[in-house]
Amino acid sequence: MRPQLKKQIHKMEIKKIFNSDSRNIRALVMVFALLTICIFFHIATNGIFLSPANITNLVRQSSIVGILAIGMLLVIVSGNIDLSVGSMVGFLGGIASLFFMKQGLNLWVVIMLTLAIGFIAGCLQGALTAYLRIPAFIVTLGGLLIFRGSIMAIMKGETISISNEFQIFGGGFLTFTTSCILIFVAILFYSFYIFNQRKIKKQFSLKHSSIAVSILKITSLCFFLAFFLWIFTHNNNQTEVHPIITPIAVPSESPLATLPEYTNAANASSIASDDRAIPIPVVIMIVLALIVSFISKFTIFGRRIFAIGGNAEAAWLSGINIKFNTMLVFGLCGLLSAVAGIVYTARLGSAAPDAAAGYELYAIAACVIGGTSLMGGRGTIFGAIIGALIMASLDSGMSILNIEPFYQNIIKGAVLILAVYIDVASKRKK
Amino acid sequence: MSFLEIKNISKQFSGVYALNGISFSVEKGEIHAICGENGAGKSTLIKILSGVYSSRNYEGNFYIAGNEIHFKNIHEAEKNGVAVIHQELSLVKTMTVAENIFLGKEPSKFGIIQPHQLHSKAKHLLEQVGLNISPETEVSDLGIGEQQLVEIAKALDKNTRLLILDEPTTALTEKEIKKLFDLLHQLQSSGVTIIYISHRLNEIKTLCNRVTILRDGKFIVTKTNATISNEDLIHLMVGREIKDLYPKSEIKIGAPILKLKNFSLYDSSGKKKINSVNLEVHAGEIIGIAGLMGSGRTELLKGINGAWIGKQEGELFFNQKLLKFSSPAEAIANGVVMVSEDRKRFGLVLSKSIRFNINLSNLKNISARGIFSSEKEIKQTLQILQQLSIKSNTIEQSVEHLSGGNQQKVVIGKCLLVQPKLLLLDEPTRGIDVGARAEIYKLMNQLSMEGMAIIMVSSDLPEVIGMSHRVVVINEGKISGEFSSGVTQEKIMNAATAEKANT
Repeated sequence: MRPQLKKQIHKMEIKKIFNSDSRNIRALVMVFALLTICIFFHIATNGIFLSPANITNLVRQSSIVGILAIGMLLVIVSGNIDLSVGSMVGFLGGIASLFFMKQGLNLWVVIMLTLAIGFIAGCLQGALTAYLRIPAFIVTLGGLLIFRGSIMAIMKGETISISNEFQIFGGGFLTFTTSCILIFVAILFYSFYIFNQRKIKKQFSLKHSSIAVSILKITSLCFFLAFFLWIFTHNNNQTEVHPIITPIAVPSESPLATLPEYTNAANASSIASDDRAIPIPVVIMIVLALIVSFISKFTIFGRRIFAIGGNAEAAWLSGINIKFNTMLVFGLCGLLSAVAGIVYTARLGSAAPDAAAGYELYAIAACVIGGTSLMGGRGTIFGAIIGALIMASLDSGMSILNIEPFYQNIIKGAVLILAVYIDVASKRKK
Repeated sequence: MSFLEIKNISKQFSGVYALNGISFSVEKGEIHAICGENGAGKSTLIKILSGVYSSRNYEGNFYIAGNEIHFKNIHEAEKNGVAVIHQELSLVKTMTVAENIFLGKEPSKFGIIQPHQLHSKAKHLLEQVGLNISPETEVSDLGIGEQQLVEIAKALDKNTRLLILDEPTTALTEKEIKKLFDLLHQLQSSGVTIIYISHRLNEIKTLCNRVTILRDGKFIVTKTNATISNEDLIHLMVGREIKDLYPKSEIKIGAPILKLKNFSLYDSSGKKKINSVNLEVHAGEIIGIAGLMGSGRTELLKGINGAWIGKQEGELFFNQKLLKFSSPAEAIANGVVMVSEDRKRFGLVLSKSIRFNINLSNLKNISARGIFSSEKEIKQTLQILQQLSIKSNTIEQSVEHLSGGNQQKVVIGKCLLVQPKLLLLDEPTRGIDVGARAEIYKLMNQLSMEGMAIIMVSSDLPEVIGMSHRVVVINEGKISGEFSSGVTQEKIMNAATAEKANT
C-alpha cells in the first residue's frame, strides 16, 4: 500500500511540473521536432542540408509564409479564418508593381499605399464578418476569388518586371555592421525583458526562474544569433562553390521553393555590395514577429483577441467590443499580407497575376503545426514561425533529395495531420 | 402491485446525495405529479427512470408492471415504453415534423426510407394529438405549443406505457395548455400512466390524481390531490428551517442608484419576457430576486446590464440619469457589472489563467496607451486573490482546473476590479460548497456596507431571505410580490407560483 501511495504522489508531482509549464513544453517539443527534421535531412543529403547556403536559402524561403502566418495566427486566435491571404499577396504585389513601374511613384509612397490598401481590404472583410455576421470562411473565400480576379483584370494577364530599387525587399541583405548592431540591440532588449519580468515576479514573491536560467536563456539566444550571423556571412562565398545548390529550387513546384533565388540574389548583390549578412526578408519577418508577439502579450488589443477566441460570450459580457476588435484583426492580417506581397514581388523580381496562389493554406498549416487551435483562443507567434520553418525544411530537404513534387505534397499533408493529432492526443490525456 | 414501484433509489454526485433512498409507487393510468424546489432531485429521478443514468450508476431498484428494470440507456427505456418530454424541446428544427417523429427509427426497406409510410404514420399520430398540420411542415415554422405536441406524438409512436413530462407548460399559452391537458386526459383514459412535473400548483391541482413531494433528495410524502391545499403543498416543499448561514448586515441605505420605470423586454419572437417592471435600488442595499426558472429573473438582469439583445421599452435611470446601455461594455463603463448564472459559459475564458480572467474587464486601468504594466496587473490580481481568498498555487493556473467556488470568486473578482456601483449576481452560489458560499455572503455584506448596491437572483430561497434587505418576486415577467420584512418561503412561493389571474 505504502510504496504505491508514494508512487502516486510522485506521479502527481511530475504531472504538476508538466502542467505548470505546458506552454514551454509545447514550444520545446516543436523546436525538437524541427531539429529532428533538420538532422534527418542533413544525414540523408550527405551534409548539404545544414550547409550555410542551404540554411540561408531555407530561412529566406520560409519568410513569406512566416509573415503571412503571423497575421493568420491573430485571425485564428480570434476564432476566425482568413482564406484570402494568398490572393491578397498576389493582388497587393501587383498593385505595388503597377504603382511603382507604371505610375512611377516614389518607392516609399508605393509601400505606404500598398500597406494602407492591405489594411483597408482586411478591415473590409473583417467588417463583413463582424458587423454583418457573415462567416469568416465565406467572406474570405469570396475575397480569395475577388482579389485574384481583380488583379488579373487590372494586369490583363501581364507580368510586370520591377527594377532593382524595389527588389531590395526580397533579395537584399543587411551589411555585416548593421546586422551586428541589430543583434546587439535585440540581445539587450531580450535581457531587459527577462530581468524585468523576473524582477516583477520576485517583487510579489511569485514563482520566478532562477538567475541561472535567465542567464542561460540569454546566452543561448546569443549563441543562436551568432550562429545564424556566421551562416549568413559564410553563405556568400559558397553560393557559387556548391554546384548542387542550383537545382534545389527548381524541381519543386511548391510555392515555397519556386522562387528564382539565385538570379535574384545576384541582382540584389549589386545593390547591397559584397558586404552581406542577414537577408532583408528574414529581418522583416523577425521584426514583425517580435512586434506582433509584443502586441499579443502586452497590449489590451492582444489580450482581447485571445478572450474573444477563447469565449466570445464571456468576452462580450466582460465589456469587450467584439465586433471592432474582430475587424481590426482582419485589418492586421491584411496589412501583413501587404508586407508579404511586397517581399514576394521583390524576391521574384516581377509581379504575376497568379502569384502566391495557395499560400493561405501554407500559412494556416504553419499556424496549426505550431500548436494554434483552430477553435480559437490558443496559439503563439513563436509556434507559427517554427511551423513555417518546419514546412520550409520539409520542402528544402525533399527537394535536395530529388523527391518528386507530388510525393512532397503527400508527405507534407501527412505531417500536418500528424502534428495536429499529437496536439489533440496530448490534450486528451490531460 | 402498482404499475411503477420505486424502491430505495439513491444517487450521488461526487459524494453528495441528489437522491437519498426514495420509495414510492405510481398506479396504472394515473396522472402523478412530482413536486419539489429546484435541486430537490426531480430531474435526477427522471433521468434514472428514462435510462439516462444506466442502472450501474445508482443504488436501489424500480419495477414496471412487476418486472425489475435495469435500463442501460435511453434507447432501452424507449423500447420498454418509457418516454420523456423534457423542458427543453429536443426536436431538430431544420427537419420536417414527420422526419422528427421517426428520427432514429425511420420506416425503411434495405436502408431506404419509405416516404409514404413515413407520412401516413406521421399523419395518424398527429391526428391523435389533435394537431392539424401537414407532416411536411418544417419544425422551425411551428409555435412552441405545436412543437410540444409534436414531441408527444413522437412519444406516442413508441407504444408508450409511461409518459414523463418535465415542466411542459413553461413556454405555452393558456389555450395551448388546455389543449395539452385534454390530450393528457385522453391518454390517461387509454391506459397510459403519466408522471407530471411542474412548479405551477394550480396545474397540478387541475390535472393530477396524486402528488409526491421531494425535498433535498428525500421522499417526503405522497398525497391524494383532493386532500391537500396549496399552502400545505408549499410548506411541504420548502419545509426546512433557515440556518444561521446568513450574516445579514445593518441596512445603511443611501441614495437611489438604479430606477426602472415601466421597464419591458421582448424576445426575438416579440413575446414579453419582462413586463413593465418598476424597481428602485439604493446604494448599500441588497435586493433579492426570487421566481421560478423562466420567470424572467435572468432576463431582467441582462436588461439592466445591456446584455439583452431584443427590443426594450421603458426607462432606466442610473445615478439619477436616464441611460440606455446597448452593450455590457457601456454598462461596465458606468459602473454596472454582472456575474452570470453559468460561469463556465458566460463568465470565464476557461483555457486561460486566473490572471488573464481577473483582469479582462479592467484592461484599461492597468495600461497606458494600450500597453499593460505587468507590475500593476500582478499587483491587482494578488490583491483580489487575497481579498476573496481564492486558493491557488499560482496566478498563472488555468481557471479550468479550479473548484467551482474558486472559479466563481475569479468571476466576482473580475467584476469587483471595475469598481462597480451596482453589482448584479445571477445564482451566485449555484454548485458551490458551503464554505465558499459563506465567504461569498460575507463579501456581499462587506460590499453593501461600503455602499455598493447589489441585486441577487437566486433559486435558493433561504439564501434570498437570509441575504436580502428586500425581496422582489418575479412571476411571468412581472413583479408579483415585494417584501421588506417578515418574508417567508411560503409567501415567496405563493407569489412566484400564482397564476396570472391572481396577480
